[in-house]
Amino acid sequence: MTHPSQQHDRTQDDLLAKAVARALDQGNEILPSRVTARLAQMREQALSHQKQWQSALQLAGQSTHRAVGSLFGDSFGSATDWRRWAASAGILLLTGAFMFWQAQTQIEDLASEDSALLSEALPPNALIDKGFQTWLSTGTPTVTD
Amino acid sequence: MATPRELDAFLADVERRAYKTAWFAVHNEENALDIVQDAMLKLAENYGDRPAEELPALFQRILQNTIRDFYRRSKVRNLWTTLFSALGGGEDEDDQEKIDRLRSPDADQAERPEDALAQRRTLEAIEDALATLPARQREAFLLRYWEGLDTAETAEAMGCSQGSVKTHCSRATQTLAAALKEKGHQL
Repeated sequence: MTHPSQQHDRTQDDLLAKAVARALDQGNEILPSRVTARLAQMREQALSHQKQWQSALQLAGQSTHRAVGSLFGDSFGSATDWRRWAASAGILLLTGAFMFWQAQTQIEDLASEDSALLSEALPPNALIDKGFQTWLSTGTPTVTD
Repeated sequence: MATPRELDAFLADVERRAYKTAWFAVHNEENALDIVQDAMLKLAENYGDRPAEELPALFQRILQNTIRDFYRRSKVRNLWTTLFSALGGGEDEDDQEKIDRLRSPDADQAERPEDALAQRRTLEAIEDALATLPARQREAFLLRYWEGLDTAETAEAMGCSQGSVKTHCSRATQTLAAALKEKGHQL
């Protein structure tokens, strides 16, 4: 627990500190004009550097734009380039569609084979039976009435 | 992100205090201005994209670091200066500096009213007492009471604990009170 005298000391310290801060603030009002002029000049300079920083961002954006442009041709950003982009996108789309169609066909083929197998009277396990395969290769007996 | 207008308003608000803070630390107008310039540029260049509310703490940290950098750079230079002064045996530069420090920024101007003079003398006494405080105590005192940062923000700007900030502030206030009392000034 804080002793009352300590509390009093703290309040006194606080009051003194605030009085000093007030006096310093008043002192700030009477800075020599050469100092205030220089401070204003420095502020302007700092602000221009922030602007330069923003410009640097813009420049970075432009350089990225140019770098991409060098990949796709110097006139990146023009109408010709957009046509080039559209053509590339079209080719990509066609390739994708072709691959999708192939995959679908393969699936359908497998499905039709499966259904043919299942619809046969011969059980599917017979086809993996070695004896049956041998019997098929040695000759199919003629069916007689 | 702080707009140029917000940055301008912030710097305009803080620049005089920053100058005086630097001046208390280095006792030289040109060096103090250079320090403030460095701090302003560093803030604008490196933290210009930060929100406006973050600028005060960032700037104070940059300013204190720039003052410390100045101390480091001038350490060797001061050593040589001291050596040359000792060898030369000429005028006492420390005394001259003290006289310069006690002079008001525009002391050469025409006479002023008495109350202004008294106020000026009190201010000089405060500035003189502040200038003689240990660097960390002065730093804590100015950040806490002049810049109006709270204990946590001051600790962050100084790179120390909140307990240290309280100790530095308390000692600084006691020293200032004693110095002002000794010179017969009351606030």
